[in-house]
Amino acid sequence: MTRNAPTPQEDAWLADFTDSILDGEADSPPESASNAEELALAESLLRLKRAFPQQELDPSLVKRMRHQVMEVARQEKRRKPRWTDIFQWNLPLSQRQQAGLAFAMLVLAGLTLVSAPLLFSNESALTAAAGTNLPGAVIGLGLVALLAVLFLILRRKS
Amino acid sequence: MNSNASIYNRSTVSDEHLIQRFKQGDLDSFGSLYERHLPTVYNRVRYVIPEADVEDVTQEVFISAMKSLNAFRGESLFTTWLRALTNFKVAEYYRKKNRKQTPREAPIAEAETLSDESADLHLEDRIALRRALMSMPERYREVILLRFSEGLQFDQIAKSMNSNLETTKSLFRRAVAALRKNLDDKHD
Repeated sequence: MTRNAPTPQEDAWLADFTDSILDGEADSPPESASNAEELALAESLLRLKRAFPQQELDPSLVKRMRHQVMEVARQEKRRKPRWTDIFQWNLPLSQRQQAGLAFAMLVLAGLTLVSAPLLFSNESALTAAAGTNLPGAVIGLGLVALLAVLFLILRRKS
Repeated sequence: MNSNASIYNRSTVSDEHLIQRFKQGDLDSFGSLYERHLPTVYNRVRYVIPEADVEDVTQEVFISAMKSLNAFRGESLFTTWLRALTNFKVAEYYRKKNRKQTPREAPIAEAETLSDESADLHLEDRIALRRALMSMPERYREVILLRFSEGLQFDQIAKSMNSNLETTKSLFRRAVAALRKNLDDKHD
């Protein structure tokens, strides 16, 4: 026979019994169980508690494990080139966005300076007339690529 | 352990501060984070990984944490981040094992390595429970582990799972029912 869905009171009863097991106040099936299913669930919880008793880690184990991990950490630190620290920006998201925008403005200014002679030269006008405005297309593509890269960098979250 | 590490281990020094110091090159700060969180990670791992591999998987969690800590931006609590990393490493452990055996079979293989004179009366039960835990949906396993292995109270679990207390207790009951069913299935 299928039982109706458990009531919030039954959920709360099991949670309270769990608390009493973990607090060491109960170590046997409860007499307050209202039916066989409650009793079975309580027994499963007791079984879980007995199989995994709370234990303190042995200090010598902690010391040994810590030593191993710290040795790996030291090796990693030696292996990592110093220049990679340049990219470790420990800044909040808003400041990283500002830095990203400033970087983008610098790149745009650089692109403008480099491409200005090409944009205003006669050669450019001629190629445009022929339907192949190559410098403009390259700059446009560069801008789109730059914006895409910036978008990808700034949307990343840890 | 040096004196700095002992100072950082005091509860007054936050995880965030230790992480910041580690990012600035202070390795001892990571040592302090390690000591602070080792019991929690170790305890979670021992609920789901065979005895012989608990130490290795725990170490892998911390080594992985150390390597990726520079990318941690503090948008979640360090404990939450470390818990997710632990779950990932546990899943990875079973993915690797899976080439030879399924997660359900792993504890059986563990049982085969036991000596007949094993003095640990609960060892077989642990194996059965690990198998039952690994066979249940992740959300069910998580609520049981948060209460049993990490010792969080139900209101803390509710907060951790972005839920309310009543829903969390209901989820816990369904998780225990699933555990019971998985344990029963083992005997069928």
